[in-house]
Formats: sequence, C-alpha cells, structure tokens
Amino acid sequence: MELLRLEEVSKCFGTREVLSRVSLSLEEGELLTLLGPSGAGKTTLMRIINLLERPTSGRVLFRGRNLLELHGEELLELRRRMVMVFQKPVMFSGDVYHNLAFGLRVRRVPEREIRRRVREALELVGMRGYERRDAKTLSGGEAQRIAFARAMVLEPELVLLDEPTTSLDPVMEARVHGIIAKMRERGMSIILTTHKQEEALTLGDRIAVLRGGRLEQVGTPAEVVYHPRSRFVAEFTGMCNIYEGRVVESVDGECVVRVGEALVRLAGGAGAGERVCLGIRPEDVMLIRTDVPLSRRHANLFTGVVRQITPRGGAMLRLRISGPLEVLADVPRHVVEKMHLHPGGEVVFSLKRSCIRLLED
Amino acid sequence: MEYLLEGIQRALLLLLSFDPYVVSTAKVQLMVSTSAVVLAAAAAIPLAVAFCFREFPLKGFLLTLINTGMGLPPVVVGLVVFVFFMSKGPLGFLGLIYTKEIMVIAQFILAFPIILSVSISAINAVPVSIRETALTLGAGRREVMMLVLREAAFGIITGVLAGAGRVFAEVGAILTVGGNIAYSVATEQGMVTLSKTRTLSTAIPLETSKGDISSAIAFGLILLLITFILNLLTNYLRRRYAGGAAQA
Repeated sequence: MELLRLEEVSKCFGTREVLSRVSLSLEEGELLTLLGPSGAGKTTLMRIINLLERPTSGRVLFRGRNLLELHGEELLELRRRMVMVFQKPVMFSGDVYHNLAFGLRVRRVPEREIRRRVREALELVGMRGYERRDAKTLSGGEAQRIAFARAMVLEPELVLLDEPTTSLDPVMEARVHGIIAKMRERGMSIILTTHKQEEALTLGDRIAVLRGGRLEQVGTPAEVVYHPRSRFVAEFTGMCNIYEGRVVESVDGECVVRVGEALVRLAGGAGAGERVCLGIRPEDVMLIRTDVPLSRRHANLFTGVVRQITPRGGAMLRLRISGPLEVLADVPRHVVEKMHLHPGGEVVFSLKRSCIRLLED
Repeated sequence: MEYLLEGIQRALLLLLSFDPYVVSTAKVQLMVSTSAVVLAAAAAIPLAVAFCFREFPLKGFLLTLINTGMGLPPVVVGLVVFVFFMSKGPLGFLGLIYTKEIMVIAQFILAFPIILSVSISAINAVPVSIRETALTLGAGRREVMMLVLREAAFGIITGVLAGAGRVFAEVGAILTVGGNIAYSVATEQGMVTLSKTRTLSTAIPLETSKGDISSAIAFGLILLLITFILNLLTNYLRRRYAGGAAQA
C-alpha cells in the first residue's frame, strides 16, 4: 500500500531552482534511497516531505492526503506519523532521557510508558544506561545513535534519514546500518539520502538518483546498476568504464561502435554514424586465459597491459589495463594469482556484448 | 583612615542592631527594585519570544530602538516619568508622584529594554536546528517556543540579572520621581527616622553630603550584599540550566 507520493514537486530559492518536477512514491515498509552528489536537492526534498520547507509547486500526499493543504491539528496529527534524523543531529540541553522523552511528551504519552519506551529504544541502539548522560557531551557517533533512538521511540510510520552516515567512521556506519535494519524489522518505511553508491545499493529496496534537482532514474538496485539510463547514473553507481564512440555498423539490434582504434560490438539499437556513449561495469570485464582455445562466445576480445593492481576490499582486486581500450576490471584475487598477473604483464580480456550499455549522455 | 574605620565600625553596629532607618531604607530598595525587575521580566520575556517567532514590517528598526533603550539615562527617564505623573501632567490624576509605585514604574522602564534586548539575543542565538528538530519530533508551535525558551534560559537569566544590576545601582530616576523622602515618628525609644521613598542608592549620596559617613557605609554594605546575592543566584541558575539534567 502506498504511504507517500510526491507529484511534480519543484522548489526554487529565489531564482535558483533546486528541485524540478520530482515525482516519487514510497510503499509501506519500503526503504527508498535518494542517491546523488552534494547539491542534487536530496536534503531539500526530505525537508519538503517533513514540511520544513514548502515546495514552490507540486503535491505531497501522505496516505493520500495532501500535506500542503492541511492546517492546525489535522496537519500536526499527520506530521507526527513521520520523523526526520538530520545529518548532524543536535541534542537538546539536558540529559539523554529528556531528549528521547521530548517527542513522547508532546504526544502526551504517560510518563510510565515513556520510561519503558526510552529504555527499549536505548537498548535497540546499544546505548543502555545512557539515560542520565548529559546529551551535549556525547561524541558524534553516540549523538547519531541517540538521534536514531529519539526517532524510533516515537514508532513512526515514516523515517527520513538525511545522510546519516556521512560523518561516521566505518565501524559506526556499520552500527547505524544495523539500527536501520531494526527499524525495518519494526515495519517502518524509510527514505534515506546518501552520496555513497554502496550504501544506496545495499540498503535500498529502490534507488532514486537525483542530479541537479532532477530525478534521473528510479528503480531497484539491479535496474539502476545494470541498466543505468544515463552516463551520470552509470558513473554514480560505479560503472567506471565509459567510452564515447561512433556507430559504424548496425544490424538486427546489434551494432558495432568505434572507440578510438577499438571496435566494440554490443546489443542495442543505434543508427549507423550516430555518436553514442557506452559503458561496462568493472566486474563485467572478463579476463581470458590464453593457454586454452578461445570460445566462440568470447566477443570483443582485446589485448592490453596491466598497469596497476589495487585491493578493492574483500577478495576483489582492481586492475587498470591499458591498450586499444583502457579498462578497469574487478577480478577475484584467486584469478589474478592463478593467471600470474602482475603490473607490466600482458592480458587478454573480453567485454560481453549483453553487459555493454548504451547511455544517454 | 581612623575616621573610615570608625565609620565602618558604626555602620556594622547599625546593621547588627537592625537600625529602623537602615532597615526601612533597605526594605524600600528591595521592594521597589525587585518589583520593577519581576514586572519587567514578566513583560519582556514573552515579548522577546513573540518578537523572535514572528515576522513583521520594521522588525529590524524596532530592534534598534529596543537596543537604544538599554542606554537610557536614568535621570532622563525620571524626568519623563515625573512630567507624565506630576499633578498637572496627563497621568497626574493617579496621584502617584513621590510614591513607591512611581519608583517601580521608573525602574521598570530602565530594566525592561535590557531584559528584552538580551532575551531576544539569547533566543536568536538558539540554533535553527533546535527548532527544526523539535518540529520533526512532532512539537507544536507552543512546545517549540517552550523548548527554545529553555535552550535560551542561560542568556535570559543573564538579561534579568543585568536588569537587576541596573536598577539596584541607579539613583537618578528614583530620586527624581520618588523624592528621596524619609519621615520621623515618635516611639518609646525617641524619634525614629523611617524611609518612605528613600532607597539605599539614593540615601548614600544624601548621608554622605550630610556628613553621616557611617550610615552611608551601612547602606553601601547592604547594596554590596545584594549584588553578592544576585551573583550567587546567577551562578546557581547558570549551573542548573547550562549543564543541567532538568526536564522540560
């Protein structure tokens, strides 16, 4: 069931348009990540949903009701079903308990119930026993977790998380991801903004990519990663091999593109003579063993020289290969070892036709 | 030097014996100045909240006027109040001239802009993110105001105490409107002088000019004691609100 819908939302600050006709929806229990660089309009969009900003035009529907047309108690009642956690959370003067109890007190929850829910929320974020700590003396990571607890204690239907891990170290980031998982277990719907593609891909049920206030693409992580609509989306989601070229041949849904001196064959419709942009993910670059006969399935075979090998975390290595076609390839460590690859060594690689994407520039 | 020591000795004697003249003068001072500060705070703090939470034309100009009010010369304030309340003045029919009430009015005018201005600064200094966090946690307008007021409490207390410091120390306004009046009554112990509108601050220059240094020193010591208590209070409240575990 649909929880939130944005229709053609635009926002201008003076003459500067920061959001342009953004339409989005969020299902109950869904986690939608808003991915985009700084200045893409992510935070403004969150602030509009949370009614901290009014859009210049468009509609914000929460459970089918336009928030922008509601006033007084009716608006407050709907607003209390959502909560936002800011990138740099601020703590109110006083202790942690006061901070967590604030939202419940304004909802007139009995003090006994407040005590129970505060204790439970602190346990969920791994900060049991912090009730009497002065909130102003918490570290950045602690304050972030208290901000999560302050939101969770309200048991909202919608949680807006504005770049919650941007200023955190990897350990704290993992903890915050754990807290987000607990929020989901409790049925909360979440919109999370981030500029980290990995975070967007691992956490989101769907990803909305924003660029300069415009929505570039919305889809599941697989759709966005493997079928990026534009060069921007491709680059932002880790498709680091992007080339510009000209179609030299186009037959039956397949075309051949000249990129520099290389000819790349790919599945896709483009007219001969047309200038195109194409991309392939680094994990779709296949290294080919030259000591066994080449299969006919191996299309787009190129020879290059390994220039650099860098660890990618886990068991993956990234190879920078130069040649007629410069590529970055993500390859398992054991493959590199088995093929005795080293900087300066020659390598043959293949680009699978079906993995090469035509991108809007 | 001997004269000064003798003056201090006699002053302590006056204080410790609860001399009726000294006690009544201190009472008038406390009654007038405390009332003025309490009333000024009661009016200025809600006004500061309204000022900060509403947008209206000429807001900046009004703030400049309020800030100008912080430096009002007490004698001029006294003169203006006197002109308004003198028997032929527009408010003369109230018959307040040379009473404690008019002294409260004069000191209210002196304390009010100080408390208002400092409170506005304190409220404006509360980060917008505090208001926004409160809003996102579901607070209504009134609850946001209360939270911001609590966050600004430290600055507001400073403003109230600055206002108190101003009125307890000033002479010009209350001297002009109050008349510095004392009267004598016959008691079993003989004639006793009591204060009607004489305060510690107005009595000091008078007794000094009369050559009664011991009384002047006694009044001065009480004023110092009041200042000391005000500072103790400031520190206590600062500790409570700045570091505190107090709940909204």
